[in-house]
Amino acid sequence: MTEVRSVYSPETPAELAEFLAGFEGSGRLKPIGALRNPFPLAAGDTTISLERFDWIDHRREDLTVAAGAGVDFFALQEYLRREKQRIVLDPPAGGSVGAMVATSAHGYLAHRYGGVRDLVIGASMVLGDGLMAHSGGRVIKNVAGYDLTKVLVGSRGLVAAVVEVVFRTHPAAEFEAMAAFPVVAERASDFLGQLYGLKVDPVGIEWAADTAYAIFEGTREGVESQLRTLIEHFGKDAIYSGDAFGKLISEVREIQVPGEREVTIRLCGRATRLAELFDLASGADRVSAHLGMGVVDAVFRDLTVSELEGLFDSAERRGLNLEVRAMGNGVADEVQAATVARLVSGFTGRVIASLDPKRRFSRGEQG
Amino acid sequence: MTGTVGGLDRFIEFARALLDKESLILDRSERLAYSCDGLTSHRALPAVVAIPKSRDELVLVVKALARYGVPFVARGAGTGLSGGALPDAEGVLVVTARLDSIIEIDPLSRLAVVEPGVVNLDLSKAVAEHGLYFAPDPSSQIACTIGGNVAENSGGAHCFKYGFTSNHILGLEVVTPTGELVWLGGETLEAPGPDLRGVVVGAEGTAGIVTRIACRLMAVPEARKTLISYFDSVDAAGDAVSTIVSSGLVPAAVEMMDNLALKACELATKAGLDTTAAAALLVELDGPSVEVEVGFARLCTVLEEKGAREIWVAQSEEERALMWLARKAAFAAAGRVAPAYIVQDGVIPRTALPEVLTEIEALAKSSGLAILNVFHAGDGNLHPLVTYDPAIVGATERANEVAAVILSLCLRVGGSITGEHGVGVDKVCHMPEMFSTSDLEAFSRLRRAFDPEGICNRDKLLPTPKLCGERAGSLSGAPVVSR
Repeated sequence: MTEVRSVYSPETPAELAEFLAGFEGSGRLKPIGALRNPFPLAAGDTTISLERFDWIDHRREDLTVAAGAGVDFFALQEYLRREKQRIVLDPPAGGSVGAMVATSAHGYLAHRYGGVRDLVIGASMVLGDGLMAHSGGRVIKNVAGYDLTKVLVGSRGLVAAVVEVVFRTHPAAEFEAMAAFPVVAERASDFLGQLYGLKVDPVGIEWAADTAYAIFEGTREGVESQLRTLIEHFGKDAIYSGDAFGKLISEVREIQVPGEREVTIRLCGRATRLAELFDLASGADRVSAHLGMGVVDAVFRDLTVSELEGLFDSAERRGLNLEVRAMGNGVADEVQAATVARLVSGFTGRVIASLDPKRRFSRGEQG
Repeated sequence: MTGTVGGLDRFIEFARALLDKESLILDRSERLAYSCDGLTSHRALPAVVAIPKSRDELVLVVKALARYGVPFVARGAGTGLSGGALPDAEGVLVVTARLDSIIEIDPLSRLAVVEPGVVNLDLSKAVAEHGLYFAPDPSSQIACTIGGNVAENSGGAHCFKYGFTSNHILGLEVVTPTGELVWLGGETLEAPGPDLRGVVVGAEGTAGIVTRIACRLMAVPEARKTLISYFDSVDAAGDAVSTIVSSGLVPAAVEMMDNLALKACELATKAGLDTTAAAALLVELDGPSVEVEVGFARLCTVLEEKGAREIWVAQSEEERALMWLARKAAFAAAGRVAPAYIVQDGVIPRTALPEVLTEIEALAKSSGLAILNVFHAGDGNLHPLVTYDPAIVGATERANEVAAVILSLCLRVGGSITGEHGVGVDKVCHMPEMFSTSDLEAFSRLRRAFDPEGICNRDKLLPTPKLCGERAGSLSGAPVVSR
């Protein structure tokens, strides 16, 4: 890891804006949330800690919550749970609100509700030269102005420092349950086709260790009715609800989280191309998938730059998307650099440069 | 000014060689037909109208416009309500309506790839045999194009549950104002890096012209149940909406009509609406049948508890369609109340409904203008129809003033100037009221990234001193500053 030279921890957005407006350092600026983000990409020369941006402004009746970028996302969810609401994002690992946006983190619920791109309705940010900006707002329907928040989603901190995020909230799930079926990777598309043919409405369709999981939520009556439909069609099955549901979901999520020296590669394509996605992931140590979304997550240990570039090239040749989703501690700096270079190249790089002309957040990363 | 007469002449020479006679309109009388979109109060005669027949032609046209520095505006079906497709009098209007092919339908991936000129409802019809549909349903869906939906991030009546166009677009191919052809996003919800797809959706045609669109399709719900419930006061109806939402139900749609709107809609459709009620709610639930049955029973209980004096439950698909016909006829029906009207599109936090509706009522009284309220109550998207008679001296100005006051009111309670129609030319001078100077500067930077020469849909979306005069931005509505 590159040595982090200094950590700056502003107390207010205005203070951060002032700092950036006067910043004359030569290194890169790297925004960090609660300083425990398990998805580091590249160590910057100056780290901006946003952990003091720790406010929560929940407007229950309006189904919105604004949270400072430094708020722990799972703590925010716990706060909302007490209010019988939630943000319908279920990332496999924790981190700050800012990190959730910067990494576009989500889980199986994206199948029903969409990802971060669909659930953030407003954001405030400070650009590299200290310009404070916001877009969107506190209402769930709003098309005024450019949607700057979208540029932040998946930006890995390479565009701006996120100060505050406004999410749309949903009612808490009344009842959740899932059914598990043995499905080998080669049959995943067939399984999906059969499931869709049953006219059930799962909120997520997961796959791990030769097992497919159809996940439902809603009223108990509604969920149980759909589970019965599945049992009638697929026969032998296992149903999980309550604590057993929570435990199994955690285990499935755990597969996606990289450990020491591990990298999680996300492969994306149409659901009809799941077999190709699984094929690309064939050298991985662990593989899981969000079947309905056409996403396969592959965890590799000790991945080299040339192996990573090979994966990128293979995916490109086949017209599939690939991104480095997460890295554990101890992953080589070169792997991180190669990842970031891909993100800021070409047209995307020019858009980033327009918002951050001095490339303070992506300095030295122009692919 | 970016465009020059020389540039336009060179473009015409190029276009004559590229396009056939039907695809290049130079005749003044023919160009007149394109002088406005759905916002008919604003008109401009385009210097040239180009109607490419293929994606390749479209790309070549935009490349030539970029090369010669000629301003241009894209137009789909011209149904927009904010003047987003208002032509540039010094430039070229590029009409995408002929690019109307559904290129591919992939039912298992719940994906369709379409050209920008495909009509919104036609996509749903085309995928219906697979049990799928395209969820964005603006009122103009029988005519509006998906390219236009992308430009405006169009909404509709079912946004509360299903979101907007942006939520249903996976990827886009765009020819930018510099003539580059780029693909943004992917063919799934997941794509690496910053979400530039999401920037183009809702950019009101200022980031280029989309040439291909990967649309996310949804499964047609197993069941739908729809009702209209009547109330003795607007407040009671608004309170019922809040209770429905806080009860944990997520209706597909929650629409509200006040008494004037009920009367106008009934006159126009003879649907059987109760015109003696002060307000009505149209609520629709959809999903798995058991889920809908359980939810619908809860919904009826809430409505009764909140004082609904009558609940009309649709007993058939025909009756459901009739309810929606009545609701969607509101804009046209306003013509039965007065010869002209201005429709606004402000959004408010739903909890501010009683306050805002009371103030709108007071505005109607003080101005002497009838205002119909018909809106998407679930997401707080108001559509007050400010009616007036242009034949009366000063009435038009008074109506415009009232409409502007309503927008300011929406901002004062923490809302937005537009929920689905877009800023266009209609609300461009309200932008500084909603966004700070630094917000607008950030927007400008983003716009320049796509359009460094400033030739694409000029004078739309972002205010300029020429359009709006020197006007400092305020900071109202900025989440951070409100702390």
